[in-house]
Amino acid sequence: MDRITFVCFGASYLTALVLYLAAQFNRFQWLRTGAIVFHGAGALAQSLYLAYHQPALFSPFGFLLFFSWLVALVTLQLDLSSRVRSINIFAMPVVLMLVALAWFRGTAVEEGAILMRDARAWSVVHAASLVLASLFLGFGAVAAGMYLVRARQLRNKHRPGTGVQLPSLEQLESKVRQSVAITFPLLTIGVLIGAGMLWGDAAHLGGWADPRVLGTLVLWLDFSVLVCLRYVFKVRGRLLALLVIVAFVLLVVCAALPHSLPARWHTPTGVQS
Amino acid sequence: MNLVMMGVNFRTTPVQVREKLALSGDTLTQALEAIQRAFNCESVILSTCNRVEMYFARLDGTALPGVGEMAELLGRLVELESGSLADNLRSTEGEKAVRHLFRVVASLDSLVLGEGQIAGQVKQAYEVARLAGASGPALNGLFQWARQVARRVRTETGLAHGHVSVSSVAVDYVREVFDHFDDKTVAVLGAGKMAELTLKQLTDLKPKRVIVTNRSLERAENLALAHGGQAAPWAELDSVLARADIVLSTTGSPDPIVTLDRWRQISRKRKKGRCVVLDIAVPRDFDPRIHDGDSVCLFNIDDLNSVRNATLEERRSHIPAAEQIVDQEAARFLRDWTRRKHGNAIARLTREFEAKRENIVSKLLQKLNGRLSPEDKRYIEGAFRLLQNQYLHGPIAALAEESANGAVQEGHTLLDALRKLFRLPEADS
Repeated sequence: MDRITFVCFGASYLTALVLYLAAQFNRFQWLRTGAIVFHGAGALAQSLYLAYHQPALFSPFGFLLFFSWLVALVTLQLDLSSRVRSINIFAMPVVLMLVALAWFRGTAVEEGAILMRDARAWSVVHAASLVLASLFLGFGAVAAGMYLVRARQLRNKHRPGTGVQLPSLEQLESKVRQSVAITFPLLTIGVLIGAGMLWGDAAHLGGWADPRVLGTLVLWLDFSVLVCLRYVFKVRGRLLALLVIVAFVLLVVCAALPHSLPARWHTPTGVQS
Repeated sequence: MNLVMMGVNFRTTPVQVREKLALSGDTLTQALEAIQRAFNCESVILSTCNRVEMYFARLDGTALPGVGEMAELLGRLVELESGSLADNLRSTEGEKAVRHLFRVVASLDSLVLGEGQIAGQVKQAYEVARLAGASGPALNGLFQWARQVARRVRTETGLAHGHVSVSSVAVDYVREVFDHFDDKTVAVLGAGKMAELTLKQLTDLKPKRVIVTNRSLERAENLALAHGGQAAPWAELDSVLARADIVLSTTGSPDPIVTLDRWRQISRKRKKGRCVVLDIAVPRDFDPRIHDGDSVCLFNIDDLNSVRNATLEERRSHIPAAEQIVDQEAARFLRDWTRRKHGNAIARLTREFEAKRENIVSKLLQKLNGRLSPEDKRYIEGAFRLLQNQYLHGPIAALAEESANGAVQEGHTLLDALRKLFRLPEADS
């Protein structure tokens, strides 16, 4: 098990991405089958890695790795059910980016790492709501990326049935809206619980100046503005898609920030790739 | 193979003749019956807007109807002068006829390359002949093989990709923008022929509402009535556009109807978000600047035509691959045909030899009855069987070799030689 490294699932995902891209422009079924096999192999390797190393979910390393694993699994399921065949062209770069960021963070010192088995009940709810919010925002960003490409195809009046095969503009916009509608309450719950924990146990936690706390606050404020634009000013289409992508980028930046928690909650050794 | 194809098509014969020759329903069945009565052969008649083709076949080598005879028979059926008919009828036979049918069913010979209707029409023509009892083992095999060819060409090449009619391309664009149509409103500006054709395709999407507006309200009402919509006076154009999700514009107006400024005013009134405008009028009815590919997607006749032309161009690039499949399948069909034909001859030949051997051996054993031990009897039977096998080995091996090589010779074949040498009846072999 300890021989499974980032290279195993990173390379699998990269190969899957290349095959997904090739399958979009070729009619060979084996390309899609190959892509799914590599995608599945990558997800399996990453599952084993996570099970063996049990990285801390509250650390940037653990969060990014866990988040990328979830995205990879859900997009594999979506591809297998053949609902959105082109989704992995957009989702796989996100997975690869998250894995790369995790690898980058993993090589640094593990700041504020807390193992899930040590976490308290509120921490679990806090983490779960933030992970779910990230997942939905991630899918919103993928749908937004697809929306922008579809809108570009239509603006250029491309030939129907050629190029990247995407769902209709209406369907993609509906997914972006759904992601906004689901992400905001989850994010709010996560932030409120986090704030409560910080308030009640300020002595032990990192305090309000914690980079991750500040980053999450900025993300929540940004998302509040997005929700306000969406529901009050009826912002839609390309602008909404762009705003969701910006929010997702903020989320990734925020996730990569350290949680400067007290030393007694740290793991004895940092998880290394 | 004893097969003849005879007919007319859009390349060789003017529509005035084709439309008179077009056979359908009862006339088609009558024609099949008449052919069977007159020539006692298998027949299938393929009758479409662009071609009327008759396929005749026989398992034996008896001559099939010629152009003159068919022209006379058809002339009587469709009341045309047989001389002019004979001038128009084109005929091919054997392998060329097989290839021709496969090219037709693959839509390589169609007016619109790669169109999907022809495969269904060929299937229907065969079904009519089968139900009328006009087709038999020869044409059954051929037409069933033809369906495989159509399927292979459709799935293995891009010959049938995309749409090549303006209205279908318009619907393709609409589908790229909208996902469902049960809450959508289609507004039609103009009530001409083009509006009717495209509206027919759009109503197949089952929109919630169709509103037709035209300078002549009466024409708008007629078109709306035909498509389950409602008519609106031309004066209400702005309010119609403000309610529409899909706009189909086909007016004959010499000046643009919806300028950029007018659209901006309409946009302010719009409660719905996105709009697709299909401006297929010449001159154009909508200012092209309203297109942004997000809230408004405008496609004019040039856009639709360029897609149509590009699709046709792409289809043309798949012709060599499709022709290759047709060639492969024609060769495979003929090889299979020869193998089956030879198989019958081999079985017949073996049966006849066996009957003769058993007859001679039984007479011999009767004559020598009492003087032979059971072992001697088995030896004699075995010796005669060995003689039969060694004797038949040469001709059977030569026939098998011919069918394996796929050699389909016109005229005198090994099979003909075998029939003559061993007095085999033709129909059975």
